[in-house]
Amino acid sequence: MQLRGDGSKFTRAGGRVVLIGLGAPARAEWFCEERKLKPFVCTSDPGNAAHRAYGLKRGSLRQVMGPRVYFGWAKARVLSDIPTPSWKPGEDIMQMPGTFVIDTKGIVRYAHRNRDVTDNPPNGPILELLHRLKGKT
Amino acid sequence: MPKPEVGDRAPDHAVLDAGGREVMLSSFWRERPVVAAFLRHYG
Repeated sequence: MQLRGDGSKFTRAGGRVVLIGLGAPARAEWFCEERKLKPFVCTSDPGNAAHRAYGLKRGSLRQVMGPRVYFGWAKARVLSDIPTPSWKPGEDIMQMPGTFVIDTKGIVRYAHRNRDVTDNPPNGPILELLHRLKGKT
Repeated sequence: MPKPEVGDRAPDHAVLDAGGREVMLSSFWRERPVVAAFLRHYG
């Protein structure tokens, strides 16, 4: 999903966004403050165990640093003011990201595992799904 | 380990909140649907 700019839309759609990153909790708190991501909930998964439980593995060099990744990142740098990525101890540059929507009964309603690290799903379908789920609760 | 897909029960796993306390993912989806975004790093 795209993290920037749409935070309140997820809340209005009835959802709660939970970010699950690697590394230390203090780093998660800093990131969410610095990127102004509230009301997202920022959590840490220091040992990768939650990532693994959702089928998210470490990627290949192509998935993490391949041409598609590099040019996607360069394009985003030109078109917006995204900051240069940085890593801290405990974080894993090779970890593949993913996005899931889980309903109030604990059932997966949407699952996206990135094909490469830039393959983030658009927010539109996720917001539409949240609106549909909102109508059922 | 099986990969959860649409229609499957979501794995309930412990993560750490901003204060370093363990919290179960299910505590977030109990009241409203959750968008769980798994990141590789914060930065």
